[in-house]
Amino acid sequence: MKEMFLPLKVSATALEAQKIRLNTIASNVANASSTKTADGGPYRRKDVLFRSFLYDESSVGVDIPKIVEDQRPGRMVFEPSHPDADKNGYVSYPNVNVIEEMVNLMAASRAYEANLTLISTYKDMFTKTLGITNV
Amino acid sequence: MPDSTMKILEKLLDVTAYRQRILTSNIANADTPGYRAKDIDFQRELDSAMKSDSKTMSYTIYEPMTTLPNRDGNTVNIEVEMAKIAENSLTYTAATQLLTMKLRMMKSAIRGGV
Repeated sequence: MKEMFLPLKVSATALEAQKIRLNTIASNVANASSTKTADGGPYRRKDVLFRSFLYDESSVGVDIPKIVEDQRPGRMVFEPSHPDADKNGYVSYPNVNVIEEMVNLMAASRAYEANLTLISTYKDMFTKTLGITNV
Repeated sequence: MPDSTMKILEKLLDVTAYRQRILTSNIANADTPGYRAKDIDFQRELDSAMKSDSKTMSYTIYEPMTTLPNRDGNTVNIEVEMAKIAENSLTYTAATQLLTMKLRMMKSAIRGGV
């Protein structure tokens, strides 16, 4: 009985993980031009780490142990009038590439869809099982 | 005379339900670095389930190489997995419908065909 709803739990963990990934992508795009953050310095692109964990031998969920910052350098733009410009007149912009984020966004939303499909597949299967009693 | 129909259908439901759990995990971990796709040999598991009389079943999980591992070592191919899921859930549906029919027939026999 306990393992009856495991597939739903597994898909739910994946939905949550993909949702966090979508949130991260949204933050990256929103801050594509943020030259200053609370920590000082420009915004740094964030990325999620997926990790799998076992419910039992057949059911493997997924979670996000941490969100990491992309260490690639940002782009330097010559804007001497900008308040965040350095002494040479260059402003350090975030290392966010909007096209890259869009590709990740599509991958995340497709993965989300696939897991939703699985939830409804399993729900159908379960409903069919209950239908056995309707003889 | 023992009727094997119910037993076959019961085992079929067991094996497909178990396989569904594995395939669901594969889709859930389609983006997890290093995760390797899992599956069971459906035919072999059904055969061994038919031979054993125990209620608790044990399955042999293997890792099919459905695709070359991608850059982060993940071997889940989402198309292959979705095809397997469609096949598996149809098999499950077929088994439930056959079981329903079988029970209807028994009910009909009990009532004397009325």
